[in-house]
Amino acid sequence: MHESKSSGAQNIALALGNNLSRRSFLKILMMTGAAAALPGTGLLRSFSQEGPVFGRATFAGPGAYQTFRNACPRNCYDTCGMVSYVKDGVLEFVEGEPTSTYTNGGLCVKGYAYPRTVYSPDRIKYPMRQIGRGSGNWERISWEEALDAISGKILEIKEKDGSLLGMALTKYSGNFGITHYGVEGMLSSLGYTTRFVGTPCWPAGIDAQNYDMGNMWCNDPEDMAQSKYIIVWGANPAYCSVHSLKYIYEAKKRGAKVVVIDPVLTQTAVKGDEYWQIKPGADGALALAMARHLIDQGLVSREWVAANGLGYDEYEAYIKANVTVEWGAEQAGLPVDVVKRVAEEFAAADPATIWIGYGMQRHVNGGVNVRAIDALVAMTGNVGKPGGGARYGHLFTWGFNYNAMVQAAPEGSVGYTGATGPKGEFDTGQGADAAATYTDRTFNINKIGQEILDAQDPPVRLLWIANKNVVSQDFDKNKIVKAFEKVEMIVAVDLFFNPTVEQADIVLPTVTPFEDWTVNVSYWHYWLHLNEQAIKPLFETKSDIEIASALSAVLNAKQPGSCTFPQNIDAKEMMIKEFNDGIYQLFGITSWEDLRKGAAKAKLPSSASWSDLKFATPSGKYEFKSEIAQTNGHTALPEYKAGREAYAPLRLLTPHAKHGLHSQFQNLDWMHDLNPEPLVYVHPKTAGAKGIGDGDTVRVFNPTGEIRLKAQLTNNVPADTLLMYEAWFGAKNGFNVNLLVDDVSSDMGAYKTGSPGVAIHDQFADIEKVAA
Amino acid sequence: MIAQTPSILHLSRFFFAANAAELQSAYEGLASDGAPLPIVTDWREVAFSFNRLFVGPRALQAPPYASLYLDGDDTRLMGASTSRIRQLYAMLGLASPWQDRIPDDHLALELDALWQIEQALATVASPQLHDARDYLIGRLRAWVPAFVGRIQAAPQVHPVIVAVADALTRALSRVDPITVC
Repeated sequence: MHESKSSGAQNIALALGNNLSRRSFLKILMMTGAAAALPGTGLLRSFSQEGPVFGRATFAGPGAYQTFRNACPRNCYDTCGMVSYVKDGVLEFVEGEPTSTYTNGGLCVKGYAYPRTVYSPDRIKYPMRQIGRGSGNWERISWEEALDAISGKILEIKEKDGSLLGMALTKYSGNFGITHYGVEGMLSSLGYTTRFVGTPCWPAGIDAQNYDMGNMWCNDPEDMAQSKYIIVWGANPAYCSVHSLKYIYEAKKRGAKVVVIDPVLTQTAVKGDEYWQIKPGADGALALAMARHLIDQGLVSREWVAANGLGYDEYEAYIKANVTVEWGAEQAGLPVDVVKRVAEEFAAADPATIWIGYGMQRHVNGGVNVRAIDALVAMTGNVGKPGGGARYGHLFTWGFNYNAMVQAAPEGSVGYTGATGPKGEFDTGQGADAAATYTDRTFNINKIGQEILDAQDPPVRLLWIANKNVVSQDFDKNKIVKAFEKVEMIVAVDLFFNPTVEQADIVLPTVTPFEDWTVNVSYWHYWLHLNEQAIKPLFETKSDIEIASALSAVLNAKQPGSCTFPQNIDAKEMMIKEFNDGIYQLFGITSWEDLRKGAAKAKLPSSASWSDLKFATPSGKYEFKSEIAQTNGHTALPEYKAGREAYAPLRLLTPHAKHGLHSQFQNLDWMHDLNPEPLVYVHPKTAGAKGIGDGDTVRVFNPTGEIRLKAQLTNNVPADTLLMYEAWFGAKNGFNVNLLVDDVSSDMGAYKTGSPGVAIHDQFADIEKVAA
Repeated sequence: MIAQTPSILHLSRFFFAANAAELQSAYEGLASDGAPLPIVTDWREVAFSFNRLFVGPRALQAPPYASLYLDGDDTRLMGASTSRIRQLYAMLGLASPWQDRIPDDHLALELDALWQIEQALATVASPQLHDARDYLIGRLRAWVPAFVGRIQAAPQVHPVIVAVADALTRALSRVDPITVC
């Protein structure tokens, strides 16, 4: 559409593009008294009435951008540094951080789309209250009204139950900025509450690496360039970590071989030298088979396991007694000779590494499978070596103060008296408050529906949801929605109206990274990024800690001493308080302000984790045999564990999407242009047997639920497998893979994260053609 | 002089309303201008419909921001059209107190600018203000029909809002003829 113009209007249109003309125009208005004749007291105000600093009478010329440093906090390996370009108060575009060799000046398609998030007309703009949950009848309320209602509920619960255990928090990875742990801080500042603890992402692997090495600690991904042999096992960096690919390419350029092991022929797989389409969940069997071949061929690094291993002999004995290469290859669905050859190549290469993806541990045997792969890397002497390593993740750079998170309970608070453990992987205290008289009550984050249904004495009366689209991302959607009916008040803090907000009573609008002050690090690379407030928060949005602070003020006005969270905070000051000398030393900076000039990288003694070969296990060795694992109900050795028994004809995989990160980004217009609708990917043979053609509408169903969507036929998935990428497509699309994914636990995760993970990829379903 | 100047003011306030009471107040102002409007029995219902269309939290049925209609495929807030209208306000010595928070091209702000120009033209003869008025009316006519079209096409719109949208269309059509080029 174009603006129609009279000749007078054309004069104006011309003047709009010219600073000088605009000033002349205003000068004439002032000289002729016309400016004074404008009321200037409507919605728009005159400069003269509001003082010289009001408004922005002059405008930046072409290229006159202000730049700010930002970070993408969306639970991604890459946690990119960004440079944001702001003109006249508007974020115009973003670039990758050039001072980080990892981000290296480039972003992924999601990152480049950030202005579409900030300026999406669909953003939640104001606090709003739904009259009748799920009714769609929303009234706009002020922050005062919202906080009055919420604080009233909090005080009512305390009065009724004698504690705040009826208030629960579920929060995860929507924003991993360090100050966002102020959400947990807000709950702590209110008293002892109920926390949904754990992580849906990677807990089984975290426990596995803790059993083996005493911690989860990966090599610097940038040293993959030095690797002579790379196995990417159950990871898809082409979708989920594009910045890591350049190191893999560099290694290839230097002669390294890249093998990709995945049930799906991914975009990463096609970039490898070799691709193995493994049967899902057979990763442990395959690793054991490769180990058996190394043993048989005398390719185990005897020196390394003797010097650095504990229980290796027992592990070898177990393998000799229970594993053959033929058996393992058959379990994995791979040819024996290929398994043998790659095992030999891996052992011969120096250094060789395995990237253990999070997908492969989302199984009922996922944790023990990671242990078997760890062992394969260790027995070839590749742990502790630059370019080597069993790469999974790390929290090595996360040593902030957690000033916003650590808040004391108000005096006299009453809480839970039962056993407790860590509240997630970032809980550095690891249950240290267990010695206190009272603690929080902890529920499994991955079973939110069931936990709410089962909760008693007290039930969950008030549920606070932040940084998490629970109804889209948590498991067994129908159960969750049913459970929510039990909750008296649900408060959701979010950017967009998603299926979780749909079930809320009150929604509070929150900020994007560009409207916020925080600091970010990665669980993969070793860079530190400042996140500056580049633009004013749009509409009435507030950050998590600003919300906490405002709630604290209201509560203390109503009942002095009822909330310890600091009032009247400054978001930037709160960010500064997260830094400490340890962080400064680790990153070689003297002040947080150094980060305004660019990103900083941790000063590591080696790019390799465990380079001193002093492991954090009880023995100080790499524990092929872990007594802690045994104590926690697992086998001491990484023994074979069968996968979940099929309960429907086809396996259902719901991995990460290319154009989204969990439920973020895919709802944006640019992503819809690239990826307009969800699809289920079906092998032509399977589709043919069921009379399904490319583009047909199908019903995918299992005992948990059903989804209707279009089918796309592809040889990229095995014939016995259905695949649909998890994503929230926006308010106009009800697609949700968790209508089909139940909440059955993976084997590990409780030890270090408080709850086991979920067997996301041990799901099964059937498919049939239906009318479009 | 625009025929329905008071209506422009009340239309502006209606589309900027934060709650049922403010909607009612603006609506009563419109009715007092003589606009043929239906009687309202439940202002809360009007507010629910208003929020679905213009406020949220669900994706908006008819977002009231000019840039979404004027900037082609670049359907985002704070677009080029937002910048242009901010510049016009500045040329008039005006600015929005919500600058950088609420886009300057919110319908209510553009209507407010038009109302202020009309008020000034009632007391001073200013060719510059005439030009600004022509520009603004031309601009509003370029995007408001599409905006009104989205209101009319939205499901379950409260009849009061349809009536106000009609009043908006009438108000913009009753101004002095503009030479369209």
